[in-house]
Amino acid sequence: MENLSLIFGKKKSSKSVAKDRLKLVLVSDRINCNDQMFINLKNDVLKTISNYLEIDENAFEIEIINSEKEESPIINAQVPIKNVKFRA
Amino acid sequence: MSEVIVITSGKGGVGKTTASANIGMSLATKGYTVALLDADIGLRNLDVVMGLENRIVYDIVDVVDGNCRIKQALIKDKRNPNLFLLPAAQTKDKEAVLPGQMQKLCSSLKEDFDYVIIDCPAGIERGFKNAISGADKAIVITTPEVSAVRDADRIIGLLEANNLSNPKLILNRIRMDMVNRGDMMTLEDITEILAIDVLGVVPDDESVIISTNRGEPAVLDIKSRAGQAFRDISARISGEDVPFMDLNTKENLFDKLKKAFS
Repeated sequence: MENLSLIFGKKKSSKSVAKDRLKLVLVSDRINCNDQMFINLKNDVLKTISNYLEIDENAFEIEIINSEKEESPIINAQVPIKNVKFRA
Repeated sequence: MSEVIVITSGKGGVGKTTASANIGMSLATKGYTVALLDADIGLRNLDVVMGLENRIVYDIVDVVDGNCRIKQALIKDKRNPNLFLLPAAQTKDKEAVLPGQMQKLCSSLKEDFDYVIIDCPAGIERGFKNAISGADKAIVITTPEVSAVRDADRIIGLLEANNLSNPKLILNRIRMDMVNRGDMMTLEDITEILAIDVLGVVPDDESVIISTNRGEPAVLDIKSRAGQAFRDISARISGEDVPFMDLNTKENLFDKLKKAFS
């Protein structure tokens, strides 16, 4: 039926829109259930990377989003690096 | 082995009370003894869906407060001697029955009945938590809409957090005409999102409204397709292996043509 819609140049089926919206809203719902866990995760990631690299903590961003390629959601982190720390 | 099963959904109006009435009646028809427990305190409705609203003397709050014995509050169904209803209180609030009291009530009912079916209130607050506290198993009911499935997801998480793991899903009010034209999510779409075992799929059927108007659960109407779906669900609850019904039986020439193009 969706193929037929394509022939006539109609927009995406409303069911597909519903499913996509639902998937997106559930990703944030499921994460919101664990606010504290997410804050801890963010701090731990920040700390771990800081052991090796000098990063801009204020511009550090981490979020869980739906992947376009994978079935399951992915963690997306933006970590601006200031200077690489060389260690002996 | 007796079982206490809570029927819950999060969202209101998706069919918890209708499902409770139909599953209870159907299990009783199969010969099991069944107690239906309306836990929606303050918004009593299972009695009217069952057509037993004129027989209420005592309610669930009277039982937990010790104003009467359980047997005095249980209303015997007028059609089936195996089926009893413990009505909710209409004038009290959702805090009137606490989790400990609910657990005690459920274990007392388990001594006398094969199945105790609890009709849970909508929402995720105290009323929900009280209603699920005596249950051994949970059934989550939803409809193929974004809001209802979202709430079902939330409820599944809360059930698991309260030691009611592996709840089973009923997908209610599915319309195959809308599914076939791509305007309604399918069972597969919903199970992919919720990752839950399916207990049954109930077609949207006006016979449910007609039978509810009369206070007769749809399972008593042998021609009702929704009634058939609920009879199958009850058979699965009691451990029978029943295949899922073909929801596409009303396919006409136009539907076939549409399929040929897709």
